[in-house]
Formats: sequence, C-alpha cells, structure tokens
Amino acid sequence: MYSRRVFAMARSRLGSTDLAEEITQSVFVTVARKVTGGEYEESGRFEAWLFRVAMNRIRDEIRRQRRSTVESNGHIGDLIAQDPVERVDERFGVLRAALEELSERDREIIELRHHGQLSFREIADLTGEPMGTLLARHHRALRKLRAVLESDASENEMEPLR
Amino acid sequence: MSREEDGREIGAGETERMLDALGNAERGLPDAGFEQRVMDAVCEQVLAPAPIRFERGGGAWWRDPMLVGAAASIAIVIGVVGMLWLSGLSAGPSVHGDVVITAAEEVEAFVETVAWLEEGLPDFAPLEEQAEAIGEATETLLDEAAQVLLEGEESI
Repeated sequence: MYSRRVFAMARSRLGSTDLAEEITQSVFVTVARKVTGGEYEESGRFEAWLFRVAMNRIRDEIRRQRRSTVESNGHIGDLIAQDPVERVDERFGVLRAALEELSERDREIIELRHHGQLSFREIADLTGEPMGTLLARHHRALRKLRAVLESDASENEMEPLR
Repeated sequence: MSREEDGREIGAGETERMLDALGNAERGLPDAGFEQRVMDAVCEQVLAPAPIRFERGGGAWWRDPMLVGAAASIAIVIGVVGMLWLSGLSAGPSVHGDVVITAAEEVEAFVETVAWLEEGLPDFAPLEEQAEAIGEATETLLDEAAQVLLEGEESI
C-alpha cells in the first residue's frame, strides 16, 4: 500500500500521527492532480515519482515547523513528545531518538529504504545520486545509528533493543 | 529487485532489522479507515464534485447548479401532487349516497326545528279567516263603487 508507506515516512520524520495522515492525503491529492492534469511524464517510474512528491511535501512541512517553532521559541522535539502513539509505543523510542542524530540526507535515505520500502535503485532515481554513493551513504548511516544505540545502551546499562 | 541484490549485505545486521521493524510498526499505525480517508480526500478535491453536505464551506451543495436544478424539480413535482390532493379533498367525496344522507339529515333537522317553534306560537286560524272575509268585503265594495260610477256617467 503506497499510502501506508508514505504515512510511515511522514510519521517517522514529523512524529505526529495526525500530521502524517494529513501529509499523506495531501501527497495523494497532489499526485492525482498531476496525473489527471497530464503532468505525470515519468512513465515506468511512478513509485520513485510518488515518493519524490512525498519527500518534498515532508521537507516543506519540516521547514514550516521550523519557522513556527523559531517564532514560538520552541523546538520540534516538543511536537514529537505530544504524539500519544509515541508515548504508548516505547519499543522504538531509542531508535527514533537515534534517527534524530542523523543528518537530513542520511535520514531521508534510511526512511525511504525502511519506512517507504523503496529499493536502492528507486532511491537513486528519486534522489539523483549514483548508486555507489547511495549505498555508501546508507552504510554510513547504519553505522552512526549503531553507534548511537550502543552508546545509549551502555549509558543505561541495558541490553540493546531488539 | 530484491534487497539482497541491491545492497542489503552492506548494512545487514541488527540495526537494519530494527529499522525494518520500526518501518513495519509505523505502517501499521493507521486504523482500518485510513485508506478510505485518503481516497475520500482525493475524490473530494480532485476526481469528483463534493458530496452533498449541509455545512458552510466551499463544498456547499447549493453551489452546484445540477443539484439545485434537481432539488427544484423535485420540489415542483411534490407541490403539484400536493395541490391535486388538496383539491380532491375540498371537492368532497364523489359517492352520491353520502350526499343524499347528508341532505336528508339536514331536512329532518329543519322539520324538527319548525315543529318545535310552532309549539310555542298562538293559533292564527281565526285571524286568517277574518282577513279573508275582509278581503272579500273590500272587493265587493270596490265593485259596487265602480258600478255606481258607470251608472252616473251613462245618466250624464
């Protein structure tokens, strides 16, 4: 289901279930408008195109949130902490926190790959990066995540999350 | 393209499995109506006119000429049928028996009322006889007067 994959990416990045659903609806409305308006010209690469639209929409929302949090002297973490699902499902809390440590581009690749379930070739199409660069970036992002998780586990004297 | 083919071996390990599990959990978060809501949003904003809703806003049904026309046609048909039905009621039932029964009851009630009034009235029969006698006497006097006048003229 494309819609759940887009939702998962949006929620991972924005931390809010309601906002992720709103973004998902907005993405599919945009895609439908473009398709019915004859703006879809990437025959055979629909999935990459769809997720590019989604990624751009998520980026716009992040920029909007940053502007509003700067204006209110807050930070995005406050918004994330308000999500009830986030509080209920603490299984992945450490991993989510570790994702926050990644750079914007590394995080996008991780989320496109594991939340959006895109292949590396599709991610390469979408981002315009060469496959080798992409694989290296993904590998580096995983190492960073592992390091954050291990450091967190040793700080809390707990076993790594499974 | 499978994940094994496209580079999974590079980052294979516990972290990647955890990320896959996180992705699965995120994709499973929306309720069963999620896809329908997405579809509704697309239909409402792109593929089809807004459904009939009675709230204020851009999707108001009365802004659609087709719906307004349909509503007006239905109202006219209902009005005509209503008028025909009401006119049928005011003309009364078409069965003559009902009318006869109603008229007979009215006559009977009228006769009863007259009889009741007559019970309280004096006897006018002698007065009527006297009036007839006066009338006859008056006619006799007039005839006699006319005869006298004729005789007078002839003598002159």
